[in-house]
Amino acid sequence: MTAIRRRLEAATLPVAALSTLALLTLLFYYPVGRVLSEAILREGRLTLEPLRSVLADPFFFGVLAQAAEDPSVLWTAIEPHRIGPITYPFPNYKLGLFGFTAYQALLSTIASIALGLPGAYVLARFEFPGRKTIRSLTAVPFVMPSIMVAIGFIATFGRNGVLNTALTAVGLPRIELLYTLPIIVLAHAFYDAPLIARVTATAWESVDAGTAETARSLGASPRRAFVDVVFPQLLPAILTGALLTFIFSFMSFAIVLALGGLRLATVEVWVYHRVNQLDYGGASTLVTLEMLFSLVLTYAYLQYEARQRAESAARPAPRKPLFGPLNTDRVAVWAYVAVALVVFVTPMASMLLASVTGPNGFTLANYEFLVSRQLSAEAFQIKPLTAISNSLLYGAGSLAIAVPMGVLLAVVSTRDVPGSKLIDTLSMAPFAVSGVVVGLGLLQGLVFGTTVFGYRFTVTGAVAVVAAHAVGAYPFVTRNVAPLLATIDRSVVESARTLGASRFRVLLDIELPQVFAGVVAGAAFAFAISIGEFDSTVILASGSSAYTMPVAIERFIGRRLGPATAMGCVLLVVTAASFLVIDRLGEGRGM
Amino acid sequence: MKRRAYLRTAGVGAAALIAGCSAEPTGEDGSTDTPTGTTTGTTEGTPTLRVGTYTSFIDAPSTSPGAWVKEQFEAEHDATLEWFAPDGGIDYFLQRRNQGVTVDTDLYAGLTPENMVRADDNLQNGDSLFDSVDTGNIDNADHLIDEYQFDPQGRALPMGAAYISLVYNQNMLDERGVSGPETFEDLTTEEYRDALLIPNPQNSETGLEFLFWTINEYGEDGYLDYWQRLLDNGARILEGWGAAYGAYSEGEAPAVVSYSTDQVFADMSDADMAEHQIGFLNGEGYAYLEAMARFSDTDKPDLAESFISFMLRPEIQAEVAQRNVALPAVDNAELPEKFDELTPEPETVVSFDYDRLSGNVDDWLGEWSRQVAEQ
Repeated sequence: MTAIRRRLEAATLPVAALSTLALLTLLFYYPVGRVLSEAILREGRLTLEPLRSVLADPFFFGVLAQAAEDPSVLWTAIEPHRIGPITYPFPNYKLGLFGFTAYQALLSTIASIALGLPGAYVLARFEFPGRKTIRSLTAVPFVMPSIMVAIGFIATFGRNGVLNTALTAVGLPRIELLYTLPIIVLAHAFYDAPLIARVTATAWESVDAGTAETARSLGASPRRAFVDVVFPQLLPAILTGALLTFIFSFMSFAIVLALGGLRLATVEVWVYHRVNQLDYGGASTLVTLEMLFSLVLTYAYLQYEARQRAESAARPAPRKPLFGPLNTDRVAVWAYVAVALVVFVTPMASMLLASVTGPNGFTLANYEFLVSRQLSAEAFQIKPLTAISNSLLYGAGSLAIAVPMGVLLAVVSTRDVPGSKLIDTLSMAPFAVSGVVVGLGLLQGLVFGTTVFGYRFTVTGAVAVVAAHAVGAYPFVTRNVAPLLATIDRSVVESARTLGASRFRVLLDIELPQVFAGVVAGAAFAFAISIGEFDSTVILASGSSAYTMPVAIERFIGRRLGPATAMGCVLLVVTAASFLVIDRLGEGRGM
Repeated sequence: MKRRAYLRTAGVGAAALIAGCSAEPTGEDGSTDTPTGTTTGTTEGTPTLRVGTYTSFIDAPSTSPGAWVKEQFEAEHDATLEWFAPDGGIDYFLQRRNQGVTVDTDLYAGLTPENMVRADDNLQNGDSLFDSVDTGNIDNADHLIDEYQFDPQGRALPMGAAYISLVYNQNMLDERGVSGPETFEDLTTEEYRDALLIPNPQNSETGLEFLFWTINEYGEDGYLDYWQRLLDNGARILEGWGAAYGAYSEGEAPAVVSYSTDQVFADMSDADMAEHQIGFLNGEGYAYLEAMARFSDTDKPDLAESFISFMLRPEIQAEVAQRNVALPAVDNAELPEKFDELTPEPETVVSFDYDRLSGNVDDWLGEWSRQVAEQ
C-alpha cells in the first residue's frame, strides 16, 4: 500500500506539470499564438516589416521614432519651461502612444504605492476590531467592472460629485478632475493600491521582530531600524505589487476611455480599435510589442527577486492598538484612513446609493427589476441568480485549478536550474497579453474550433470559462508564493529529500505550510480575477446560459443606470462575502 | 488534508475540460454533407429558424421585442424561432465565414449599412455573407420607406430606424442662460464650452454615425477641422454609448450624442423631460438604419423569407417599433399618438448608403483617430 502511495506521490508533480503545460497550451499559447502570429506573417511569409513600421511611427513611439529618422530632434525639441519666475530648458518631447501609456502606467504605479503602503502598515502593524475583515476585503475593488468604477468615480469626483459638494459647502472652489490624467491615475490606484497593500502586509507580517530589535539595541533609531532592517525585507513584496500594477495600468483600456476620454488614449485603445476594424494583423503587432515590453520588465524584476533571499519569520512583531491616545503615528494613520475612505469607499458607496435612487428619490425599483428578471426571464435572457451561481462556481473552479498551477510554477521558478527565470517570465504572459486578443484567440481557436484529422474540435461553455479564468488567474498565486518560497531554508528541503520524502511530500509538508499566507493572498486575488473577468467570458459564454455577474451588469446597462448598479451591488456583496469565506478557510492552516 | 483535496479537485477539473470539448467531422468539399442552419433545438418535424441579432433586441433592461416576436412568429408558423446574439454582433458571423466555419444561422436582424460594407470588404473574391431576397415574396415590401433602403444589391431589407441626435439637459443649460444647441457651429461656441459628451466612434455605432454626420456636413476635407474645434471647445469622447450616457445622467455635461427616442424611455421612468430634450443639429437627424438579411449558406431560405415578410407586416412593425423604442421601416404601421409625440422627427434625414460608405469607413475613422489621440 505504502509502495503504491509512494509511487503515486512521486508521479504527482510530473503529472501536475504536464497537466499545467497542456492547459496553458490549449487555453493560452495556442489561441493567443494563432492571433499573434499575424504580427509577423504576411501572406504566409515571415516578416518583421509590420513591427518595424510601428516602431518607426512617431504616432506610436514619439520622439524615439523621430530620433531614429533625425537625431537632431533630441536637442532641437528642448524648449524653455517656466515655474513661477524661473525659466529653465526642458525637452518638449513627443511621447507617442507607447510613451504616454508607459508614462500614465508609471504615475499609476507611484500613486498605487503611495496609497497602498500606508494601508499595508496599518494592516500589518496595528490591531483593531475588524482588521481581518478589512484585510479580506482588500481584493474587492479588483472585481469591479470598469463601467461601475467609472460611474462611482463620476459620482465621487465629478462636477456634482461628493467631493465637490463637500468643497463648495465649506466655501472652497471646485476641482475639475474628470477627463484629466489625475483621475485615470486615481482610478488605477483604486484597483491596484489594495493589491500592493495586501501583498506588502503579508510580507510585513512575516518580518522577524528580532532583526529590528537587534538593530535598535545596537543604537539605531526606530526610523533607521526601519529603513535599514525592515524595509529591505518588504521591498520584494512592494516591487511585486508595483510590477503587477504597472502591467495592469499599461494594459488599461475601458477605464481610460470612460474617465479620461480618447485624448488620453493608451496603446490598448488602439488594439481595440484595430480589432474592431477586423485588422488583426495591426492589432497583433501592437499586442506583441505590449507583451514584449511587459515580459522584459518582468524578467528584469525576477532577476532582482532571485537575489533577495530574506530569512523567513520566526516571531512577528506585536501589533500596536489603533485606538489610543493620539500620537504622530496615530494621527498619520487616521489621516490615511480619511483619504482611503474618499478614494476606495466613496465610489462604491455612491454606486450603492445610485442603485436605490430613482428620478423621484429613494426606490427599490432596481432590485425589483432583478427579482422580476429572475422570475420571468426568457431562456435567451439573463437571470441574476444564474449569473451569481455561475460566477461563484467558476470562481471556485478557477481556484481549484489556479492554486495548484500557480504553486507548481512558483516551485519551478524558485529552483536554481538554468532557464527557471525564463519559465517564470513566460508564466506571467497571461497578464502581459491584451484581454481582447486572448478573447479573439479563444473565439477563433476554441469556439469556432480547430480542424485536426478531419474533425473540428470546439471547446465552449462553462468548462472553457473556468479553464480560461484559471489561466488568467494563476500568475497571482505564483507571484504571491514565489517570493515566500524563496525564503525557505534549502537545507531543510534537502534533508527531507535525503531521508526519502518525495518532492511532492516535501512541498506538502514542509514548504506549503510556511508559505500558506501567500497562497491564501494569491487565492483571493485569483478568485477576484475569475469573478471580474469579462473579455473571455462573454465570448465563451455567448449564446449559452454560462454567463457571469459582470456579463449581467453589461447587459443591464441602459438609459437608466439603476438596473446595472443594482446588479453591481449584488456583485460587490457576493464577492465580499466570498473573500471573507476564503480567508476564514485559509486562516490558521499551515503556519 | 484540505490541500490535498485541492489537488484532487484540480485533476477532476482537467478531466472535465476534455469532456467539454466536442468534435464534429468536417466535409471535404466545404459543408455539403454536414447540416448547416441550426445545430441545436431541432425537434422532429418542426424546423428551427435561427436568427442572429444584437443583444438589446432580445434582452434590454427596459424593453425589448425579442420574446414577443418569437411568440407571435411561432403561433403563426410551424417553426421554432431561436434567437442568437453573440458578443461582437455581425463580426462574429463574418469571422466564422473567414475562418471557413459554417455560419449556422439563417438570417440576421439589425444589420447597419456599415456592417454590410464591412462584411463585403472583408470577404475574399466577391463572396457575400448574405444573399438577395426577392421582394416579390415579401408582402408589405411596397411600403418600405425609400430613405431607409441602403443596399443596392437588395440583400438587406430595412427593419427599423432611429435618429442620432443630441439629448440635452435644459435645466443645466438654464444655469448658463442658453437654450439647446441648434447647429453644429453652436457646439463650438463659448456658450457650449465643456458641454458635449460623444461615444467613441472607434467602439460605438452611435459615435461612428455621428462622425458620418459631421462628414456629411463639412465634407471629407473639413470634418477633421470641425472636430478639432469641437475638442478645443471641451467636447469629450468617451468609451462608448453607455459611458457617455452614464456620465450625462450624472450631470457631467449638459449634452450627449444619443437618439431621438430618448423621451420614450424618460416617460417610462417618470423622469424630468427638461433633462431629456432632443436636439436636431441644423434641423437634421442622422438615420441609424437597421435591416434584415439572409445568410447565403442557410438551408432554410424560404422560412427565412417568411420571417422577413412577417417582420414587415404593418401591425408587427408597429409593435416591434414600440417594444424596441425605434421607428418602423414601413409607412403603413400605425403607432399610438403618444409614441409619435415622444419621438420627434427631424426636418431632414441624413444617412450614408452602401455606396457612400464602401471603401471609405476605415480611412475616415483612421484619420480621425490619429488626429484626436495624438500625444
